[in-house]
Amino acid sequence: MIANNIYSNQESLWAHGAATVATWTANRAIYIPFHAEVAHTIKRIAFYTGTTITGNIDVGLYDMDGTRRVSSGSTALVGTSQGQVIDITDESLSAGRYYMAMALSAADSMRVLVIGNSAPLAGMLGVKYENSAFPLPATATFADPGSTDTVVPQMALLIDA
Amino acid sequence: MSIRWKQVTAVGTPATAMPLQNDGIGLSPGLWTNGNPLVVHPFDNVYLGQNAHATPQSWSAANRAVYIPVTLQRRMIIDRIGFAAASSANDIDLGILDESGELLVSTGQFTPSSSVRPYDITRTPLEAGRYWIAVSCDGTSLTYYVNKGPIASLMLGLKYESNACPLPSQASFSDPAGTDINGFPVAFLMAEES
Repeated sequence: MIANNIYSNQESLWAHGAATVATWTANRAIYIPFHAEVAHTIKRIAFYTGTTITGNIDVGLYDMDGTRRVSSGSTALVGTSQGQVIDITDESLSAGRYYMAMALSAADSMRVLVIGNSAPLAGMLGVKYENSAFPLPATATFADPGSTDTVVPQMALLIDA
Repeated sequence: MSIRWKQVTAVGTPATAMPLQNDGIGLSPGLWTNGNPLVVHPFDNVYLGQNAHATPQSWSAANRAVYIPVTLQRRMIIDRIGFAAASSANDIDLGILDESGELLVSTGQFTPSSSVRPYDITRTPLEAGRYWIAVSCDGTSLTYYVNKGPIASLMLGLKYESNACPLPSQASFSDPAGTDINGFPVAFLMAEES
């Protein structure tokens, strides 16, 4: 096995490229679990903005216990409806489970995958939320998705500089 | 173990081109829509963007090379590179780069057929690891099939290079613009044996 880029939601990238754009809850962090089958060194994190941007973004990686491994820090969003990539301090991950995280400072919109129409589906994937979590905290306090929380942002963990 | 895939002839669009048949050992190089399209599984040829394709698009900039990252999970000997052209125009150059961007093999410049088909290259053994499939074109008249999108090219880890047709011996990678959502060219590597 050889390391490759990691994506938050394969299905929305490949089967539904024109994924839904959803409005973020200001200062909310969303944690998306993923499994690294082999060791990776993550160098950049990419995402896709929606139609409204006014605030900043913070992206990062967490251990399963909620300990932040790395984050970009508050970073300006560069434009609407486009991909953006942020360099992070190179982070070496052993094979295992982690969270990729995204937080926004304002009620901006991002390209997302809508997971069904009810919260349990997002919860079943292990997605976690945290309010008042911008910038990303050193230790996450995970909460299960609420009754209207059904989205997962499109993110890519890139191993190429 | 030896694997030999049946020669692919020119066929219509990517959708009708797949799945291919094989006359060797291993799995049919069929469709895999939910796996990571940039990871090559054992016994498969390397197909990118085969699950769906968008309306043909014109090459985005004359002499631009597009580099597509791909991970081989096992050793393969590549003897053909495929490309899905929707028109016969301009010259293209198809190649394989190692992870550092060094050109390992290329077709050299030629005018592609208006079809989905492979083109011969020098037999090239590739060990398991990361590589780049390279496609460059010297004009913008060529139309070609792209992976279903829109997908931000930089989210896929694609790289671009200007003034890169024919393909240079050493790539100089640059990121696509954030607004580039054309996906990536439908291109594929064909394993003679492994």
